[in-house]
Amino acid sequence: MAQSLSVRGLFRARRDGSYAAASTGYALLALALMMAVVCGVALGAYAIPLPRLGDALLMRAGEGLAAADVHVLWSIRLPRVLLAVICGAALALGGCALQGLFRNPLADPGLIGLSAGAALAAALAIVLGGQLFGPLARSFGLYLIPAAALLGAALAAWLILRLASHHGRTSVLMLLLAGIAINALCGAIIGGLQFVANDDQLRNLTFWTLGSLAQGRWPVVAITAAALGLGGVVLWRLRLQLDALNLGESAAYHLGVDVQRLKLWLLAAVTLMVGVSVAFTGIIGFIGLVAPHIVRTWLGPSHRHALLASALLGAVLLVSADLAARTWVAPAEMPVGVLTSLLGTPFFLMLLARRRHGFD
Amino acid sequence: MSARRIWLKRAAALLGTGLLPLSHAAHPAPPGLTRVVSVGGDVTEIVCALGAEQCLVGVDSTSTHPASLNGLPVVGYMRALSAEGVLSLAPQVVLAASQAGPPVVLRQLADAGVKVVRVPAGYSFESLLAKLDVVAEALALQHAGEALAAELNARWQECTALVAQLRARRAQAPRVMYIMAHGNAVMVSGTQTGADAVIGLAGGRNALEAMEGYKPLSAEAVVAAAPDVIVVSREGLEMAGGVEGVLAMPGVAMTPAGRAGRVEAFDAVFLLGFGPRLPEAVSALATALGR
Amino acid sequence: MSMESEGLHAHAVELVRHGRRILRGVSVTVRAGELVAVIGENGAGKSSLLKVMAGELRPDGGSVSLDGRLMTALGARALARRRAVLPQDLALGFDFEALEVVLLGRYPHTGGGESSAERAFAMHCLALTECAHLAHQRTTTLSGGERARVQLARVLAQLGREGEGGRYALLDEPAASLDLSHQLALFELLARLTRESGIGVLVTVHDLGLAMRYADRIVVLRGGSVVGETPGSLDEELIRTAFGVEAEVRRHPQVRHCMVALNRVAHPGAG
Repeated sequence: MAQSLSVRGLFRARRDGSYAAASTGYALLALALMMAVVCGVALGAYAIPLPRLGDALLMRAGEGLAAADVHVLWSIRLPRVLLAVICGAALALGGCALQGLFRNPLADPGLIGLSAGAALAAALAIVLGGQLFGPLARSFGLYLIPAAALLGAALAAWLILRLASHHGRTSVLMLLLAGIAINALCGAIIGGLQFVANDDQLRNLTFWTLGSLAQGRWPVVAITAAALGLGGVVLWRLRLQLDALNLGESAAYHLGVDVQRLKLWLLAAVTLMVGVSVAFTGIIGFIGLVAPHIVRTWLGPSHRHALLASALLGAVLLVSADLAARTWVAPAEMPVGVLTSLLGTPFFLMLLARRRHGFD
Repeated sequence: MSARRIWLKRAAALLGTGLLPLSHAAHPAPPGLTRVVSVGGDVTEIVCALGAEQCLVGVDSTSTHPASLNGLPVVGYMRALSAEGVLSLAPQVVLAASQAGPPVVLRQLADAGVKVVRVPAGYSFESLLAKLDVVAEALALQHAGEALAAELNARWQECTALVAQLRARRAQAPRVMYIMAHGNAVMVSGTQTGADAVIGLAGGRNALEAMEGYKPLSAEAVVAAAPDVIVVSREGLEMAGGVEGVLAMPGVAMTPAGRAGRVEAFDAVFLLGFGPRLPEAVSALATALGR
Repeated sequence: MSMESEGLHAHAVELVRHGRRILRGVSVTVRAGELVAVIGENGAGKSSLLKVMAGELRPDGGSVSLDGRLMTALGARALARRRAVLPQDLALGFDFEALEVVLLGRYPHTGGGESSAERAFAMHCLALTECAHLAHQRTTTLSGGERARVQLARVLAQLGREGEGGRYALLDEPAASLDLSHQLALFELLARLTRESGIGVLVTVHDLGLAMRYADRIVVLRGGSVVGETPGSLDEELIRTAFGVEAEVRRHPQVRHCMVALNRVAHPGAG
């Protein structure tokens, strides 16, 4: 297979009906991620000239190096960029895996109610946290909202699975419908909470739902990385079973896949990764939808490559979006969730339009 | 006023002037004073009233008064500060209103060696004095602080005298409804809000005492509340389409205020800021209610 | 309950779905190296029988065993190494390349290792179904017949090489979307598989001519019961019972038998 690369070829299935080579894809994505991370570390509201940047990175005394340089770089910027890498990868992986499970490119953690569950729990923590948990809330401190959000995502996943399972089998259609129901229910309760919330709580809630990577600190990086690692390993091991599932549930069973086990593991892994990620960042839309979509049209839908490539692309997208969010209106900051949706939507529509032309 | 709107407005202003220069030399701090970032409209007004405006190297998007602050870098909405953004202004002190956040950012600022001073909130004259104390101490301007406190006390005395005088003319306190237009939603103020407090200080009575916080307006509730006067922010008035627009809101026409056409508009930051202009704000509202 | 050790057996299988009895005491056996055709009108229970024998549906009565072991005792993976299934109406969710679809057939054997040897074997399977040239084509760009042949290649890949233990293939209407020449090619291939590789094939088919020409045995289903089982040829009476069609079966020098359908008649005992 000759792999010619052109800008058009990047995002469109090629004329001969085949996909671009995975090795080319990985190489380009790795390069893009490296560039995004380098830019993310080098640029920011707080200007650190290049020579000082090197010194600050190595934490060695250099000419004109201020203590603040080292602090900004090591305590604020680096963990934040890494959090963007991790959450971008987690959101994209979660989206890719759920799309594989539902055999539908429009599925994402929001669709089956994971994000809604997390949002509801976060809203509960924000609005009623003090009254409900009292001393417990204080001992959780900064981790109260994230802990609640993770719990909410897990509960939503468990509930959806219960609703969709019958006689030990889980119906994908029921999973979707249950997700819609959970979304509606959570939305209604959040609406109620907004009604009883005071102005402060209302605004905190609004900002949580807009998404932000401001929580980027080393402990948070460690926690999200662990969740991504665990969930990622599970998904990676399931990649071929997900491919088999593309033929439908019976055909997957014929190929030796224990479909029920596959669904349970997959949901558990996605809940862990996405739940932990959403817990710290709030709701960041479109990465889970756009990244896998681009990867599939480019490298093909097989999960042998789509999973890892989606993770890489998701990381690139979120690091870039966050870079824009924190530099564009510096010294202020835009909510990154607004940016991803703002940039993601037109791009996604463009892809859909192109795809439609491709099938004419 | 919606947070997003403020933010968009600020963003547009910033884009208009190009990205802000990061040069620290642009705002030299006078000797003995510090480089200060002030977060919260009331806090910033206090800083300026203390004569320390030249110390400010950045303010948040709710700090719109006095107008001379216009050229200062804006660090965003007070609940969504950026650690790096604030640090890029190299402040020694960050004066943060109690709503400022997120908490993790304030912690990062403190970790970076910046003195973060939380300024207490409150909807009373006493809490204004408490804010003043904290700010004056943080800026090492205790003398100026005392002088300002004395002046504020004097102005407050005049204000309360005026309120009492106006109040004496009527048998009953006028029932007041405060309308906040929040994007598309029209909200009215219950108790536990700045609007409720300022109405009380000005000798009025909140027409919607039965509920807490800002709640969506319902026609029947408005009729039942029977306000004598409707107070609205300038922005809200604009959004509603002027006095006629407010009077056309559901239920309003059937209230005493609606029949008499009594709609009073104020600048929201002035009226609800609880900064050093509090005596003037209360006096202005009391005068308007007394008309 | 007798359980022969060799072969894929359905023994007195009952199946009830939504209160309807779909299969009534059906016993069918496929031995290694044997091509068994299941015929019957629509709704006779052919696909259900195939699903039960594939282990996909649990019978409500009776049992299914594979080479002496009860189906229920075998895990999905162990089962997949011994039998492959071609269901009807396969719809792919995402647009895989043909070769990727065929490689899926290797999953039960390799667990996913994708060496060049595996790819070569998958290409070989594609060549057997005459679609090697489609290897890197996305499946949505293929015609219905091409898709069916790619899926058949996947089944071949799952049956595997000599000694990998794949012994039984269950094919549901594999000829349905094929043109005449590919129908013949398909059955030639199935006949060869049974003869040369000792694979047992159970195939549902509508074309009685194909069944008579290639099958070692024909099982006739009607209303969920086996109404006849013959080696090779069908007689007019059985066709009348099973399909309600008057037909004439003639010998042909080349193709053993051929059939001419004449008239619809009322089912004996129907109504």
